[in-house]
Amino acid sequence: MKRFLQRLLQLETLVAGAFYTIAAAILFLDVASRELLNQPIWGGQRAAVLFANAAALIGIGVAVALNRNIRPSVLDNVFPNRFEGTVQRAGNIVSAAVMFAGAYFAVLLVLDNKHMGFTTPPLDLEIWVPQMALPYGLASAGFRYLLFAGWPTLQPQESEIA
Amino acid sequence: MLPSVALLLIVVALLALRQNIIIILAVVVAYLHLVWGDGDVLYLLEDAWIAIDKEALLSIPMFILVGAVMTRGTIAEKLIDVMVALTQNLRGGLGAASILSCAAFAAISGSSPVTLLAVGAVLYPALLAQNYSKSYSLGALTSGGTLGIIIPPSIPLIIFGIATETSIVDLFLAGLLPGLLLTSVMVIYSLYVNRNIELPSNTERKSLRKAILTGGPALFMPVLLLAGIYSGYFTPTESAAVALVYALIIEVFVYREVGVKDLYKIVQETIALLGSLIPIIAIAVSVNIFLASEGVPRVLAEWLQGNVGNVILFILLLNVLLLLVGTVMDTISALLILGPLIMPVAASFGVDPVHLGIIMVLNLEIGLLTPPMGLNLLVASPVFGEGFVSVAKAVLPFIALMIVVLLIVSFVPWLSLAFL
Repeated sequence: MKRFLQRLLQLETLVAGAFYTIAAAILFLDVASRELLNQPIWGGQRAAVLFANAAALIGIGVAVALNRNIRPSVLDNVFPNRFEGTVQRAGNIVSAAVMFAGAYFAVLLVLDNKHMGFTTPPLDLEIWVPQMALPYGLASAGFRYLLFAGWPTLQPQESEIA
Repeated sequence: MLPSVALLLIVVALLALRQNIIIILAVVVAYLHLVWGDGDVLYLLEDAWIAIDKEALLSIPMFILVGAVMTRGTIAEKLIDVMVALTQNLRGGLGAASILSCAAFAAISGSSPVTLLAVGAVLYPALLAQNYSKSYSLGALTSGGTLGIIIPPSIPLIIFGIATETSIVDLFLAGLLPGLLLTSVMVIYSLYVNRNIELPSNTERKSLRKAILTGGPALFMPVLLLAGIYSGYFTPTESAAVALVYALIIEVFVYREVGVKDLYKIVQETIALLGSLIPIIAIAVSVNIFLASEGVPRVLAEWLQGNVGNVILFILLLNVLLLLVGTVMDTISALLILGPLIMPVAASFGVDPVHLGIIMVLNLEIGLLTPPMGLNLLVASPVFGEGFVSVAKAVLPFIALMIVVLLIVSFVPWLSLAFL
C-alpha cells in the first residue's frame, strides 16, 4: 500500500510539474515573442492559466499525501490523549467524506459544462476538459484520507512550516 | 436550534476533529448555500472554478517557484555576506545586517518561516558569538522574517489584489515605502540597542567587493522583478515567469547548486503548497460571492457608518480587529475572507482600497509574531532551541516598533499612495 501511494505521488508530481513547466514556458515565450517579434502567442496566457489550474487541482492530492495543509490547532487538546488514535481516524473519515462529496459535485459540474458545450475563449477548447482535474484532485485527496483512516501509519507527520 | 448556532457547533466539531482549513471552509460554505442560500451546493464548485480561472492568480505559482529555486542553495549565506560587509563599519552592524538580510531574503523567498530558518541558521550563532544579547538575536531574526510579506513582490498583496479586484501593480507600488520604513525603523533600533558592541577586528572583516560579486546575481533578482513591473514592461505574472527563467539560469549554471533531483523536490514542494493554497483561495472567494449576493458587506457598511461615523475611529477599530484576527488566523485565509468584506465598508469611510490592502497586510504581518497562532514564533522556538515564551518575549520590542509603523502608515495614506 505504501509503495502504491508513493508511485501515485510520483505520477501526480510529474504530471502537475509538467503542467507548471508548460505554463511557465508559455508565459516566458509569450513575453519573448511580444518583445522580439511584436507578436504575442495567440491564446498563450489563457492556455497557461488552464495548465496551472490543472496542476494546482492535482496538487490537492499531493498536499494531502505530504500532509501540507494548513490546520488550526486551537482545539487539539479537547479529547484526552488516550483517544488520540480514534480522533485521528475519525478526522480522516470526515475529511474523506467531505472530499468525496466535493468530487461528486465536481463531476456534476463537469457533466453540466460538457452538456452545455461551454468553451474557453479565445481558445476553442471545451471548458470541461481542463475542469476534469477538479474531481480528480478531490477524489485523490479523499482516497488518501480514507487509506489514512484505515492505516494511520501511512499518514506523514505534519510539517511545522506551513 | 438556530441555524447560526448549528453552524458554530459544526465548526467547533471540525476543529476538535483536527480538520484542515480547506475542509472547514468547504463545510461552512456548503452550509451557507444550503441554509441561507439557494440550497444548491453545485454553486460552490462553480464559484470556486471562476475564482481560480484568472490570469492574475498565475503569478502565485510562478513567484512560489522562483522563491523555491532561489532558496535551495547557499543564497542566504551570500546575501548575509553582502549585508554584513555593508554594515561592518557601524557599531551593532551585525544586528542591522540580520534585519537587512531577512528583508532581502524574504523579498526573494516570499516566505517568512523559510527566511527565519535560512538566515537564522547562519546569523543566530554569529550574533551570540559577537556578544549580542540572546533576547535581541531571537527577536531580530524572528521578526525580520516577517518583512517579506509587505516588501514587494509579496504573495499576500497578490492574494488581497485577487480577492478585492485591486490592481496588483498598484499594491506592489504601495508596499514599497511602508516596507522600507519598517525595515529602516528596525535597523535604527538594532543599531541603537547594540551601540556598545565592539566593531569587528581586521581579520574578521569581509571584502564588500567580493561579497557583491558573489551575491550580486541573487540581489539582482528583486531588482529585475520590480523594475519590470514598475516600468510597466511586464505584468506581475509575466515578471514572475521571466524571474523564474532567470532563477533557473543562476542556480543551475552560475551557482551550480541545483540539480535534477533538487528540481524534482522543488516542484513537488511547490505543487503541495499550491494544492493547499489554491483551494483556500477558491472557497474563500466563493464565500465572498455568497456574502455579496446576500448584501452582507452593504449592511455592515451602513451599520458601521451609523454607529462609528468617524474615519479615525474606524481605522483604529479596524487595526484592533485585524490584530486580534492575526492571533488566531493565518494571513492568507484572513485576507481572502475579510478583504472583500471590509473593502466596501472602508470605501464608505473614504479609505482607498490600495491603502486598505497595505493596512491589512501590515496587521497580519504582526499576527505572525503573536501567540497562539504566530507562525514565526512556532517555527523559531524549536529552530533556536528556546522556549515559546522566551521567543514571544524577545519579539515584543519589534512588535511595538511594527505597531508604531502600522499607525503611521494607517494615518498617513501618502506613504502607500505616493507612487500611484
